[in-house]
Amino acid sequence: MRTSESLPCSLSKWGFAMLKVLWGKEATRQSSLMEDVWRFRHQQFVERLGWNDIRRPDGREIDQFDGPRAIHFPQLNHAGEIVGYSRLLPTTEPHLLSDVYPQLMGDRSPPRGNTIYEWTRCVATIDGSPIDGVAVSSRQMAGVLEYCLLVGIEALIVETYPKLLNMFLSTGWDVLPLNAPSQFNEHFIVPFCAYPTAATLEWHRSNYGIRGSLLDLGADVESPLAGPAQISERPRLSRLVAA
Amino acid sequence: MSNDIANAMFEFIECARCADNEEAILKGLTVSASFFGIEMFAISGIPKANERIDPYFIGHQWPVGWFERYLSQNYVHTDPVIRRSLRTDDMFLWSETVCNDDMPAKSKLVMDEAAEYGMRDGLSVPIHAAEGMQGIVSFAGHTVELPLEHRNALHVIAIYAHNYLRNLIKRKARVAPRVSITLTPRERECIAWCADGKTDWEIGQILDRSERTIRHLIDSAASKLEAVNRPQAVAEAFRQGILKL
Repeated sequence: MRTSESLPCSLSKWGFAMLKVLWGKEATRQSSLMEDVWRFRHQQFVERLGWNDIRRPDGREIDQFDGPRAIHFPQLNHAGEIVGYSRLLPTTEPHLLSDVYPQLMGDRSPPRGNTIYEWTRCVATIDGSPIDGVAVSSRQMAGVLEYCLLVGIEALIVETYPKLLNMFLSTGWDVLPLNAPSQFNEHFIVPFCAYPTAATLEWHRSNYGIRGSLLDLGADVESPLAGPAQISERPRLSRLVAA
Repeated sequence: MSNDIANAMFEFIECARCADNEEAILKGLTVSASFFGIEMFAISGIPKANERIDPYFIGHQWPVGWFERYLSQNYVHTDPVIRRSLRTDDMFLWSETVCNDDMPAKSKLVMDEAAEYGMRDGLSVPIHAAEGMQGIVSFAGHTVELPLEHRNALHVIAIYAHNYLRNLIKRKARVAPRVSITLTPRERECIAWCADGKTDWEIGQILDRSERTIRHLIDSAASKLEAVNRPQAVAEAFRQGILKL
């Protein structure tokens, strides 16, 4: 097995355009790539999308949730530049729905569990050309989906604008809102749960023409799930209705 | 109250996910829309500039008279609601956006006529996807007084309705390689003239047949197409490729 230290950081210059998966030890090892991640996030979310709440004078966008168990997915192009990014946070630890806007759940409690992660900071550059014929945004979505299936993440919690539900539903995802949309600052936000399934990955692969894996898992392929993976019961509508 | 909104939304989603036919989804949508005081709705794809809307209709609960008029007058290309939905992916209330004094006369005509059929105001949800425009879901009524919470819940409902209906239609198209329907050349001709907005009498004049014969031919074509009325027969004929755009 190769180790990341022995590889030049310009690995991707040799043609590996993939989603890197970085968390825990792997994130520490690849500290220079993580530096690029903080800067890319600042560029995209603060400078491009105008999320001024998270603006930082040093141009590195990091928050209190970027701990050792946060999973980072920077997507590199063939030139080794970051062109897309996503982050997954374990719901067994503080995350946005539990700590930043719990009011989105009303009096319902947010689903938490070993195999439930929160998907945040999802972005693709707007000027990036397709890689191997596939749009950067499609690769980003499919890469995260592939990783969830690989390590057994059963549900992803997302908080976003109602209209973005269509992006999930129209691309083969099984998606359930966790509550009605409610106002947060000037926007309406809906919390929802997206379930990674093999059928959804197949949808992405056949509709976008993705061949094979999109992931570069790094040196140690370890499960990010805390403790023994438990097969938890999927949150169900009826249960939420009763809550 | 906010729990009631969420429950109305969940109820519809549950219905859409379980439904194995389009009627079940439309029925569920009728129930959920009525929770928000909405009686009328339509779900459709958007035709290109030179196309008719007929084959794009996915389902509706418009007054029959209005539906027929909308198709026969080919209003889709002057309808300001459709025009706006092409430019934005945010939902909008007709009275707050498209209905204003600067409205072109042609657009005003469409909106005024809709109002005569009881559709004075409406909430429209454009459905856009990465690969382009997918469609529009509109809710309408005499008055559409919806707090923002309700509009946003309806936005979610509209997205589910559109996606699940489309999936069912796609699945049906895959599963049942179409049982080809044969219309007689005369029946086909009559339906084609219907699509052009001609009355039975006019078609009779064109084809040199009595009005009664024409009505009989159209009824027979409609029943072969399993349509309950003429607009549906026309739409089916387009959808099945019997009439070409």
